[in-house]
Amino acid sequence: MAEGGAAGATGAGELEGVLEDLRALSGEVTTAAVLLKDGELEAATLPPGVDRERYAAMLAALAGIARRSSREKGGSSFSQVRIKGEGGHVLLVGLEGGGTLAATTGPDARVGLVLYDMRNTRKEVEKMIGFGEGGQG
Amino acid sequence: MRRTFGRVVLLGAAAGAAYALLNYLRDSEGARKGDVQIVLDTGATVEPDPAEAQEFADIARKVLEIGGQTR
Repeated sequence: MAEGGAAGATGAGELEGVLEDLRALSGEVTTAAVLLKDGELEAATLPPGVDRERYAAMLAALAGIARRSSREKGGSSFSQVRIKGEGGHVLLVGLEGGGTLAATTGPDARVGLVLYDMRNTRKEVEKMIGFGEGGQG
Repeated sequence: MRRTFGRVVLLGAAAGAAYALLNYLRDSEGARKGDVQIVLDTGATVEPDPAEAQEFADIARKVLEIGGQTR
């Protein structure tokens, strides 16, 4: 189901396993992805046929606006972002080191629960990309 | 004759008003209050300005489109 990403030094395959676990845990998650600070797509679980490059570019743009908006509102970055769209929700959770854990859901998803599961997944993702406990910090 | 003319004018005015209302509703279909919510790293929950909220909504729509959730 998931399209494999470029396996890098951080173990993108393992990271996609974590994202698949998130999808299994939160049945309402339709796609999930991890972006690094520079907007590079580190891992994603996407249905077949989805244009990874475009998907990553759009998520990076969202994360960029979220960071800018957070600074304007007095923070240094965002902890989480919830955007309700016509066809569903786009959810972002900020990671240590400036990365982003992103997910999309259907329109009737219980967004609070999905965000809760995303926050629980965050630590594991941070550890895997080298910013969690025992990572680069 | 005058009465008929008056009714036609009234009917035209009502149709015009309905058309204007329809267009207004269509134009304001963008981001609504509460559609975008940001929790800052300070713990505060904020909403972006309307222009920024629209930007969020437009890009989110594209993300959902690419992911196959909207047509």
